Amino acid sequence: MAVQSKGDLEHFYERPDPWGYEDNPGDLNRRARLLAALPEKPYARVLDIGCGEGFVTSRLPGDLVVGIDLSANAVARAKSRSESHVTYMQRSLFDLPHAWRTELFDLIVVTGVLYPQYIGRAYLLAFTIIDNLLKVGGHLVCSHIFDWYKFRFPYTTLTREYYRYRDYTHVLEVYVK
Amino acid sequence: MILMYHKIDLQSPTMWCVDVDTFWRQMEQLTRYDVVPLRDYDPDNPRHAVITFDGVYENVYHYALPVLRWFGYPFELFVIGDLIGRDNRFDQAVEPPAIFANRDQLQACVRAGGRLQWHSRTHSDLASLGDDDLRRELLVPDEIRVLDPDGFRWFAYPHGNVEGRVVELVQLMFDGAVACDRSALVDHYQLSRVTVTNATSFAKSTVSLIIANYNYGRFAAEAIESALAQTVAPKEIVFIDDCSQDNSLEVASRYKEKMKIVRNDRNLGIVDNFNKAVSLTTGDYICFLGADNRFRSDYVERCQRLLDQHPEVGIVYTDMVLFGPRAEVLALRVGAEALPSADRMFVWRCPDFTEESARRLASSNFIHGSSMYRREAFVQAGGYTKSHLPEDHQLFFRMIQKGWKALRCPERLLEYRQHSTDQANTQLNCALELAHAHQEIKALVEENLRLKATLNGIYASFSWEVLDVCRRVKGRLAPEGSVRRTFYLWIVHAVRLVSYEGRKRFIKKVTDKVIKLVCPQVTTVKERNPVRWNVTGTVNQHPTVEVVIVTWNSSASIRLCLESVRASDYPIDKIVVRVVDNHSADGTIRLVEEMKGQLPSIEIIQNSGNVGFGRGVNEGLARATAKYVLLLNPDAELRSDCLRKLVECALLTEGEGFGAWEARQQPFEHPKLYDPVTLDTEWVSGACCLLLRVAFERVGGFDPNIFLYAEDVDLSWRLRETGYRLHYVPKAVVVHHTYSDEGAIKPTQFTNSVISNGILRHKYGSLRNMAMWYLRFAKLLISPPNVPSSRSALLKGGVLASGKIFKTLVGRFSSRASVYHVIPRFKGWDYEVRRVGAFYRIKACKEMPLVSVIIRTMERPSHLREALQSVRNQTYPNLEVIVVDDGAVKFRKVLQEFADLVIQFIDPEEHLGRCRAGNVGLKRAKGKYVNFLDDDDLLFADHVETLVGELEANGECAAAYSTGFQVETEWKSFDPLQYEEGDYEVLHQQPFDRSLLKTQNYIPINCMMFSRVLYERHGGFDEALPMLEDWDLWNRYAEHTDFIFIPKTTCLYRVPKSLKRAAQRQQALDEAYPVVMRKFSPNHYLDSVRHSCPGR
Repeated sequence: MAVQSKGDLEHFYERPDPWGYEDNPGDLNRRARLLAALPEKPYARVLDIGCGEGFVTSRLPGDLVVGIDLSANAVARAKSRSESHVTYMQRSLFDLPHAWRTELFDLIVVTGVLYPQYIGRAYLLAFTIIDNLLKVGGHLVCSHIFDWYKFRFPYTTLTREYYRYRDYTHVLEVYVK
Repeated sequence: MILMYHKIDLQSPTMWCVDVDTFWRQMEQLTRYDVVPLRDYDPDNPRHAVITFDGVYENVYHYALPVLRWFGYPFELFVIGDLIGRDNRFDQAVEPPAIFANRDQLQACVRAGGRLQWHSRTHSDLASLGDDDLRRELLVPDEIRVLDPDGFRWFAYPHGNVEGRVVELVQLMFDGAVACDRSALVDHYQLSRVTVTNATSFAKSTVSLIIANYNYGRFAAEAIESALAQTVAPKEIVFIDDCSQDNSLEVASRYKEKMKIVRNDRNLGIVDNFNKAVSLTTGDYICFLGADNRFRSDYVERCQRLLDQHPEVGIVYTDMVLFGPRAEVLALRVGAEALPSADRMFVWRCPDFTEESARRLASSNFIHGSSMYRREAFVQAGGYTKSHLPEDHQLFFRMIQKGWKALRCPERLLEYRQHSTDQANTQLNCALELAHAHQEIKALVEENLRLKATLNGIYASFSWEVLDVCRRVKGRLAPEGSVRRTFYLWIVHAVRLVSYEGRKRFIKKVTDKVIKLVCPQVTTVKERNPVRWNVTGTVNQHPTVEVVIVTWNSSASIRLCLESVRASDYPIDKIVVRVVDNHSADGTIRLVEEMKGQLPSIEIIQNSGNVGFGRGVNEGLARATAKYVLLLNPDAELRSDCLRKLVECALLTEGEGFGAWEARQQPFEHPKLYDPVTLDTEWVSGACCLLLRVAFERVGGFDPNIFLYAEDVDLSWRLRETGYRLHYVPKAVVVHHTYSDEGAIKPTQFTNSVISNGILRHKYGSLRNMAMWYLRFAKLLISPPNVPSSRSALLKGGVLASGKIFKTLVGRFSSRASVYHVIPRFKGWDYEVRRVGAFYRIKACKEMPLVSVIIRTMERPSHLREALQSVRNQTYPNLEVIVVDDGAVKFRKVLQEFADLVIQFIDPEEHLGRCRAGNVGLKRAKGKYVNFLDDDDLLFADHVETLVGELEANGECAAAYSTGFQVETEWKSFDPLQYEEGDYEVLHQQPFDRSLLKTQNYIPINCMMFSRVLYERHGGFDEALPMLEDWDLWNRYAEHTDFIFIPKTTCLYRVPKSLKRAAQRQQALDEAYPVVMRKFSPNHYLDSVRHSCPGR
């Protein structure tokens, strides 16, 4: 299976909300579950990897929330949201170790990114990158379609939930470093 | 050893590219070595390892650099001077395109511990160069040297070519040089390197992970998943079940491809079970995981590393997390501290292994049972033994007595569940089971569909029909084990020697020959003359109609029948009723006579015996003088306007050559096919049918040979043979109480149909048609349907039929009428094409809300005309039509022919395409419900009535769909419209299934009617789609409402008949398929590459 190119992704994001998150009951449910599962609120510094148009990002409780996404179109649309505490940036997960000097985060959220069609076989690199950005004792929250995502982070699992999402089973994981 | 890498990327398309995960694991394995720079490398030291990259590609910077930094390794980068920041054009013949790292990226690598070295200037074959060129290739330009002032001391030969003259020069200019795999040689200027691929491993040991289970089925899935998700996979995973009584094995068997499952025949107990498990494994290191616990995903990675690095250590133990409902109890006892912000989770830190703590081990254990240990130590200690101490404590104690050390890994790698048997935290495992079940169901549904299609294909084949008789005979005559059975099997084997295809071809060849002899095929081309449809309006003439009713013991219904005739809105003095009674014994005659007061024109003809329906009508008609005769069954009731509508239609269309007009029956409409445009039908039912008397007389009336059933088919065929057309009048309705229940079989109907069918097949059919009757008759005799005494009735009927059939055959061949222009079609016991849904009951609706029919058309006025005509024929009164004319030339004038319809004509200035045209139509629709009709598709007359009835009756559903014929059509000419039609086939009869709809579109567009509210809330077609836009729309609507499935054929759509066009259409559909699929069904991402997915 080929990894989706950035061009294809941009093309996909030419129209707003291409996945139809905003009014889909399945997506509202997965967001509600994610927000309910956060062990501490609010966090000082929060990072959302693969923020899209900010469907989840805009609701994350944090003094400073940063959302990054590969798609410039998605990020442009996310920026038009009104929340002041959220910063959106166009960046790939794999850019982070090279082009970004930043403080560590208390919470990192990854929703629907760690699939082979996006990151190929680079799960351990993704872990390495995230580990370099997460404080000891900080939380990592992952929300993915279970059928496609078979990775587990080498952190202690606080909670793990499975539930129906569209025609799939979704898994929500909360880790502590 | 020196490792040679080229590219590190997300995927590994060629051997020169290692994927990132594999690279990460190879780097992890190098923690057992001393990774040194080239400068410090000692070829004789087996612990030394050097990491080199040739090229240097940009992906090394992107993907390898963070990993190298993570492990803190030095590394060497052999750069090709002229290619810095360029692409790999020089070897694109064999390798996919790739970019080389630019100067900034190289500098970043140097900052991260990399050293730049030289890989020549252009990567050309140095041996073939002159001295000057060679020197130029080896010389590092200053502007490159500044990138790493300490670098460029080492050289890598391009293509690995080591040639004497080159080596000599390299010796002068560099500190050392590396080649490719030159294993034996240890020369500082020709150092050998290992070509690393995805398959390369530097592992020094193997791990066996054993999951021990006894009645932990409710937890096992979690344990297994945690073992499978290890960052460094163990060599083997063994799931050993000590004879559980619960669902453990069922849970484990879901993972049987990924691990070995062993089940003990009897319960061995912990000690024997554990020893057995170890004996089944081969790894250097062993670890046990209780099926109620979990490993963190780096358990194997970390413990294996420590054992590899410390040969004196026999056991590595770890800290752990306590979880589960009773975690707090144990935590208090052992002093484990709570994990911050977690719900009842505790971290239990173990003491380090020191001399002091080792002494303590004799009395109290701090090395948990899931510690990883060496097989060697296990063997020396004698394995698990039975004693008063726990088995694991005993084992570890004895290992230490043998001189092995233990080592603590200060990470909480084990997650240890504290549960009581009656209070189990099984929610997570239930959810996992559910997830698996969902996947299994999905696969089964697809498999089921595939099998169904195959099975239908088999049932439809001719050879199945033929062999079906044999199968039944086999069951009767040759029971298992008999001599006859053996004989039968011989025959079967003999037949099987001929291939299936061969047999099929043989049968077809023979039957085709015979058919051609008896019944030459005539292909008919439909030619439409639209001028003649333009016959609407009312006629103020009321010619006399004679109503002929044949009765036989009809007392239950005759009164209602006659009353309905009287109550017609047709002038009563223009109706003459003639009742022919076939010697009823239940007082039918008396009842008819009582009606004389209301219907003075009743005339009664009494027969002395039951002569059958056909003869009865013939007698009734012999006395008739009027132009029109209405045949009416005594169990039918006319709606008040039925007779008027039939006569009106007759007066308007008689000039077109029609000879019979049939009313629509309710509650069960007869399912035969009619032309939705001209309303021509292939035969008319005798239940309620207006006949032109002249026509009836010209063909000689009903065939007296046929007693009951199918005599109307016979008459119809003869009428058509004589040149008459037959007209279906859906707007005239008669209520026919023919069936008490849906799908009921009436005994007399059953036998009489069978016999009539035989007569008709001999009268009109080919030899094959005839042969099929005998086959089917034999089949019925062997296994008759579940109707009382049907076999004896059949036998009696068969004897009776043989005489009639003989007479028919003689008549056919003596009158030279063996060649027909009308080609009759036999379908089993039935005739002509049938629509699906014979027993569907139309739901009456109280209000008649407006329905919008949207027609998208483009430069095909003749097609548009047909579509509009099929709308005009609708029985539903409240319609508006929206015509979106998307062609360059507009055809507004067609509408003038349809002045009686409410039509909005939209002629956009630019070409819109299918989707936008549809959306424009939707925007203008005013109806409560919307139905699309493409210009080459047609609706049967009751389509709108049927769907609206269902939608109004089910307020909760906002959409309904029926089934449609797929008709293979080849257009011969557009003006006048001429076309050839192939088979009428109902492809989809799929009740609503939301998830199935995501994999296939089983709702043809004109079959669907939906509430306009759906459009207003959720939008119209996706204008980005080239095709299959309807499928996408259904899926989006299905997110919000259920669809009602109506198992009745109410429309037809066309597909190309010619193979070439069909292939073109299929190709276009195949191209559109993944585009649509990408939108709503991402689980098919495996089929179509380059896919993204939701959840992001």
